[in-house]
Amino acid sequence: MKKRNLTRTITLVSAILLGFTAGGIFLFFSGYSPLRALEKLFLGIFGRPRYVIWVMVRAVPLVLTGLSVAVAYKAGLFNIGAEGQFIIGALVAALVGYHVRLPMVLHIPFVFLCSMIGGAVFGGIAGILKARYGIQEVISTILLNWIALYSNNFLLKFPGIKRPDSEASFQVRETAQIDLFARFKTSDSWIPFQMENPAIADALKASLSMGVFVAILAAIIVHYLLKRTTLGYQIRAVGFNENASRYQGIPVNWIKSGSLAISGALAGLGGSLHVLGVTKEVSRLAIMEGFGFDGISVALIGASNPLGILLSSFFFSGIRYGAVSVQRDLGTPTEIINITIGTIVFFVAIPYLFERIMLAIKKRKEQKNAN
Amino acid sequence: MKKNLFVFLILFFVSTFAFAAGDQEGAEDAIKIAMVTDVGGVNDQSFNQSAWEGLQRARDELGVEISYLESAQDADYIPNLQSLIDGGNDLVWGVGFKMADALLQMAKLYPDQHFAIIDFAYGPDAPSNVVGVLFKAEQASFLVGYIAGKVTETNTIGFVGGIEGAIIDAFEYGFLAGVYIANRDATVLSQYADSFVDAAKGKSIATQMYVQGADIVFHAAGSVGNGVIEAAREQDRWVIGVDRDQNDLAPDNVLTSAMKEVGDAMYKVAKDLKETGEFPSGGALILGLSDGAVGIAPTSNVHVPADILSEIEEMSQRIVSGEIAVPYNLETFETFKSEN
Repeated sequence: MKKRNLTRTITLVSAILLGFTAGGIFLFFSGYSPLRALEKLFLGIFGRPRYVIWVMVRAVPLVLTGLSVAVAYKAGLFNIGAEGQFIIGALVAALVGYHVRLPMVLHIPFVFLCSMIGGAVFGGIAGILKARYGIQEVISTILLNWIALYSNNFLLKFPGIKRPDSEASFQVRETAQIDLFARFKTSDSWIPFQMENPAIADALKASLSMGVFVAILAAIIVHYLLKRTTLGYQIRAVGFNENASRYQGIPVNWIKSGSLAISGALAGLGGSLHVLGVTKEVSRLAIMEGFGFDGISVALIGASNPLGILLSSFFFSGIRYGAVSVQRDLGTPTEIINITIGTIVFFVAIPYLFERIMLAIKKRKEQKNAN
Repeated sequence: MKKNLFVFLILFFVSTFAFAAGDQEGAEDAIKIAMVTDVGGVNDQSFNQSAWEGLQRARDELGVEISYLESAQDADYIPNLQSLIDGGNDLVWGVGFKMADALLQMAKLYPDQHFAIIDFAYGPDAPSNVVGVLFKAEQASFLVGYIAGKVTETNTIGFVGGIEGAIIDAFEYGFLAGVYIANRDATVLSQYADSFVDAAKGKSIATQMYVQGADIVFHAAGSVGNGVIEAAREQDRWVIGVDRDQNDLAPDNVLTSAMKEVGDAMYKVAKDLKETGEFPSGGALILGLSDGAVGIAPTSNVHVPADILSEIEEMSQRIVSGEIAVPYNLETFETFKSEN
């Protein structure tokens, strides 16, 4: 086990280095200095306290979608639907955040709950399809993503949901907003404060929200769930060996649908954190925003381990956010950053793929021998 | 193995900083202008691109330093705007009305920074460090609608919109009014792609329209329009471009384009800034035919017969003089129909 972890770490580090090298080569051949780019990237992430806060803020949705993918993965399922579950969670959050009136202490948890239920139902659909009818969750979740996207766009046509003269919903009420210092920053005391404490004021200009803490909490809870509870044990058992689990009396079908529902709830929570903390509204989506897809990469890089996912989503969001400074100062196209990230994911995925193939071959051999 | 890697990493970073320390930033006193694109991206062949071309012209002719950042999601607007402010830009542009809220927030948070936004105007109580630029896109759409109404042989014309809303309404109803004035018998098939980026969808909608007998399709749908133009080239029918002169995308099929000179407007603001040192302050610039900010593409004379072009000339004058009030939404279109 120890040795396996070491191999994994080495794999990961070399994948990341290879990714950066590939990005550097692309940069070099497009006429940019890779080393200056790397410097700008580094400064773009750590150059100011505000940047670090931004990286954390922007990691929040990735943590949740990453956890979502990881939970399903532990049960041996590949949830590509985190994107759609995220959209549903965001949509529910925007609706409940605006149409329901509650005091703040109740409103925020209520929105979280509704989004999680929304996401869970949406993920559960794929789960039931898988458990009852054996429909591949990969296919059903991809298709459900589109259903989520167009449901979002469809609902945003109706008066009462759509804010007049916009492409977006009404903004969630103040009782449901989770960003910190937002009111302070628009108040009269902000200007003198800014004069006296320029450094703190600069850091506060990032849109910090409670989402950061909720995301960390969620990672801890998922870690606990998977490692310390019966349900978590069953999920892992099913993922490890379905037949053995069934033989042991674990309700495999229930566990499978259940893990997809939990997975959906996590992505849904991600959607609501994003709406309550950052966007305050949902708008018509021209394309998938990619939070769920990034979640797949995040889960992969984080080895489906909740704490690994915390790190990998900060890493992911760090490169993305730092890349903005690179683009601003050097004029590099965003595509190069995406190539770098893509290469990292590629090199990380290959050893896993290799491991899985070896496992499958081994299983087949054993079966042959048994026959 | 691990140790080697670690050493390699350290060397990598050290060499980076050693190299980085060598070069310094260029001229400090040049005016710096930057823009944030909306989710369409800078190569949308449409208004983000037009905006960037305007800034590039400002760089070439005025020596202004320019840069841009692309947004992949709505949540990128604020960090992108903030990053450009950090970059020491004198003026930061938001391209597109979707950025309106984000830009307003930043304008309040950074009262000493100048901002401008395309396709949006804030109300009277907007902060004085932000200016909105609006275009009378309906006027250009009216003119291309008039051309379409005259050129069509099947009396069927298509309109492909991006996502419904006030901005695209102006294109649609201006276009409908132009067709209406030119040709009472023509019907316009209108469909929205529900997207500004899905070119495949634009292509399938346009192909459908051509199959239904349309011989001209006008699009106001950002990058979706690339698909529309591709469909026109495949079917060898007419298509009308939008925002910039799109004739270069399909020289034999782009009849004309409804120009919305986003880039031009941005260039002019840069020029004023350079010459007078003054930022446009507060409120809104509303630009139309009379400012030369909207109109038909210069390449129109290739495919559009000269007699129709001279009629267009006359129509333009009637619009500028206020004789024709071009409708920009359903309501004004109904009044327009009852009056004409």
